[in-house]
Amino acid sequence: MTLNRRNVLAAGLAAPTLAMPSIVRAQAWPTRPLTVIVPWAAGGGADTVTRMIAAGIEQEIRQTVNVVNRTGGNGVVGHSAIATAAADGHTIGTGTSEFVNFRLLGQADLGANSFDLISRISLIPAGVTVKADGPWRDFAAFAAALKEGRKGQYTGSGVGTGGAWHLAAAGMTKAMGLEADRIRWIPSQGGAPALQDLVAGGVSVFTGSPVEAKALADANQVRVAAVMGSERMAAYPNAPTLKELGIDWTFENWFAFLAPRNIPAPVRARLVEALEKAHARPEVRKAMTDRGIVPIWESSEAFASFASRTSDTAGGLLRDLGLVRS
Amino acid sequence: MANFDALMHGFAVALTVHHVTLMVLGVLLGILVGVLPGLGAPNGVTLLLPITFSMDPVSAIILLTSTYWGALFGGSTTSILFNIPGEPSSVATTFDGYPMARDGRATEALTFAFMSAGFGALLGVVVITLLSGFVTGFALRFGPAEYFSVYLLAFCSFIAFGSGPPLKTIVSIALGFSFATVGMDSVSGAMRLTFDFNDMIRGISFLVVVIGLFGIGEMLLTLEEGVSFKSADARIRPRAVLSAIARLPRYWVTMLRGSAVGIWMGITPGGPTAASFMSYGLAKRMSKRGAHFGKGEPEGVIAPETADHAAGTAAMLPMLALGIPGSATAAVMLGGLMIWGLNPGPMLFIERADFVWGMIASMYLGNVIGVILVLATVPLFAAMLSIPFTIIGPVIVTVCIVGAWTVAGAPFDLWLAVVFGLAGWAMKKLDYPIAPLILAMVIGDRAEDAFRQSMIMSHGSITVLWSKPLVGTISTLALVLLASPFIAALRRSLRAREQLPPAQE
Amino acid sequence: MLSRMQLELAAVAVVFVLGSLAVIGALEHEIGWASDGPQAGYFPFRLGIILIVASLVIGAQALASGARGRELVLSRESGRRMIGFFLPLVGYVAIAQVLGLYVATALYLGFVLRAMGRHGWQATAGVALGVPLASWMLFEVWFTVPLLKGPLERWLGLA
Repeated sequence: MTLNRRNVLAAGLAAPTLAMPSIVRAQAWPTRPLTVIVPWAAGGGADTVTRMIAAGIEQEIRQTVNVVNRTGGNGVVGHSAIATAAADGHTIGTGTSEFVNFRLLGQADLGANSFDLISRISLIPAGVTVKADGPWRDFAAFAAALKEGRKGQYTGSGVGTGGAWHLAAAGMTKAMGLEADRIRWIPSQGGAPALQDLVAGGVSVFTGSPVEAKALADANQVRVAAVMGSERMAAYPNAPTLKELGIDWTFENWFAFLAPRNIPAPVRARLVEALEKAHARPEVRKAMTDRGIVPIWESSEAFASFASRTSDTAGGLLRDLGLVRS
Repeated sequence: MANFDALMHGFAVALTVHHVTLMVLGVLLGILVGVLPGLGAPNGVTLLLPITFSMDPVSAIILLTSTYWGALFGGSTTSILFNIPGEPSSVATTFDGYPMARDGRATEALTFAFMSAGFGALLGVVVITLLSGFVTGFALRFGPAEYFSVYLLAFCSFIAFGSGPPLKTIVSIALGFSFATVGMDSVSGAMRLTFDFNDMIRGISFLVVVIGLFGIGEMLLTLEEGVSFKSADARIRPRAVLSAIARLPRYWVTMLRGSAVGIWMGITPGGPTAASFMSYGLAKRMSKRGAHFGKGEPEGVIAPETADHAAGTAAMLPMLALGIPGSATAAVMLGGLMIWGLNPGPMLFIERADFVWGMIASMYLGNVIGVILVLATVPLFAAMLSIPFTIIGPVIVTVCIVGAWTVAGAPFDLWLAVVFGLAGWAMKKLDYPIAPLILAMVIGDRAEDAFRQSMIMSHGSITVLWSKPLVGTISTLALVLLASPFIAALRRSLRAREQLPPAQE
Repeated sequence: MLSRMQLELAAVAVVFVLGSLAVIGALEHEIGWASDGPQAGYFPFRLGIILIVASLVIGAQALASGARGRELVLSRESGRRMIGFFLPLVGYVAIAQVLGLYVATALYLGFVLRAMGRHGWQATAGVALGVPLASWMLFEVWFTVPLLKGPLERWLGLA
């Protein structure tokens, strides 16, 4: 645990109050409403998934669950709030793949080892979305243009520099035998503005979630040429996966439940059990799959080894992109 | 006429006891979050979101949108009565609304604000109703360069009016832009001006600054001058309401201009806050009574209010048709839409016509209900003004401090609000204009992003701002607006020199 | 108590410091205009320079302002009133950091109403307890926006 001044202060203040009532309560969980911290704004992907599951948690533990958005600094603010919350099982958070790269990007001293990794909760496959009335009918045409053109001739967007969808684009071009920065990245504040840029003609390809592109795809403004998941998406049955096209690259962004480290073991066991049950509830599952979000639940050990693997892959790509600051 | 038939059908959907009850509840809740600084429409809508999971989508969207309208109305109340903007988009309403209230014309100011807001909202809905196809096409022509040119236009139309000393205006603007750069730079991913200080990563919240500069700053001024509230008379007199309504048509030009600005900014989407500033700036320049702005001019209330609400309603269209939210609140609603199992897009208009047109019809009704209810809450606030200042003053301070906390849930922000309170007092004393600082903070962040994104696209060439007819027109317009006061001043001084001997300073 | 010139100079000093901070902070990044446009430090650096220059000019103007500079912007009496308002406010925020917003609000209102407003015990207690209670209902219960809490709430098992 990283000690900063606020922690020491909080601990000092908490000490005298650790008298009777708290100790008694440590056996019982939950004794009061739960808080789930989301590092991203209300209405976004992480927030929506969290609120869906939060409704399920309320059913499981018969306690109010407050979803709190702590936004800012590319998720740094919210993730650090999760890491430094009281480890009593009443505060958890929804982490997003960004936290794995904070140290490499020089954004914050936070990483997988700053949290109690509970489980990933959902996967969001990346895609290759192009303008519908643009030059490319399908992925093959796009790939050919990318190979023939100059490095940086075509632009991509979907997230800020070094974000998940940027890595998706870099990994894809690398798997095609090209440079990681073959596609010039136009940083954006999220999926919606990037898609707007795509239609306005400023951006060649959108590598974010095809789910976000659904409205514009229905309006015949954009075309999902391929998806980067391990299988095709129900919403886009005609869009092949990159694997099918002979490119060895899959990319799924993910959200996960994180907790501050050192929650007492009995409390943690109850907490994880409740979360897993909530996540498995049929109405929660249905809400997620209806939106094209792939639910996932795994053991903490599996999540931890996934996090370290993904950290290596992402680290390599960020190095190729010249974005590593530390 | 197909749209008209669909709308009539929509009214049939929306005009049930159940739905009208939801509108009333939504508007009331919205007024409450609107009045509280720090809490805003996005909070109100987010709060209601889980409740709507079990509702049918039409009822759900009616509840959420009504909350939004309520918040937009409620934000103006405290702007006018206490000089504390309850919503970011009602900052511009304080400029003339508060002076009017101080002159004992609170009823008039509030009536003008609510009626013109209602007018802007309705015009926004009418545009949605009639021009949905055209409008969505327009929104899709906007890329970073276009965004930047719009922010530039908003800025230029507001800034160049030179009421304060020029050098101090420049300091205000530069401070606002500097504050906006603090935190993560979304283009490069670097941390700027944070000095490794944890509380700076979040950036400096514009809302906290507003709470400090306006709320606490105003308290300091009031106390220093040793008087109780100057807006002593906020009783709502039916006759004053009626006479204000009767005089409203006189300002039809301002209302139409404000609505046009708002609708445009809602669709593109530049947001209601930038829209209200832009509309205020344009009104000040174009009005014959421009020189009286800032001293309690009705037009100075009407202009931002129409634009604010027109932007709020117009933002619903790109959200429904394209999945592009035009405001923070629309973004939350978009999340809701998907949870209810609705996919935004043109297919929504065909497959779920009852939903789309029920919602549009509810926007007409909701805003009418909003105007009525918000007028009805005014006596409540007027009653607050008759409480002794030694009680209500400290209570307002606690509302401000609590508001500063709710913005981001950070203890540090409380200090920030206090410091900016002191700064607000000093700025007033020394004639540093506050409004340019606020505007620079509002648009600085997004304008810089848009500018640098378009520069990445153009390989660092500024000509991208004139690369297409649309962006070129907006950019040129902005520069003309920026230059016009200087040219006018130059011409005036030349003429003065011809007529008079050189004046001694 | 405070002349216009003194206040002008104080304000200018603050602006100067803020400008310098912007310049120093910007220098941690590239401040040029590269092939992909302005870099991260480009705008902060220039804004900082503008602030520094403007502060120096305004400062010089203030020093040369003569009679207008000597006029009082804050009389002794007004100053006392302001400090009487401002110090409790600072205390309020300081206490809030440690004890949480609810307790701090109650203490602040209790102190200000009683000591500054000279209201009776009943009115004081009503407001000092009523406002935190109403805030609790509004924020914790209704809006589920948790406010800053301290040891008291933790001890009561509410946080």
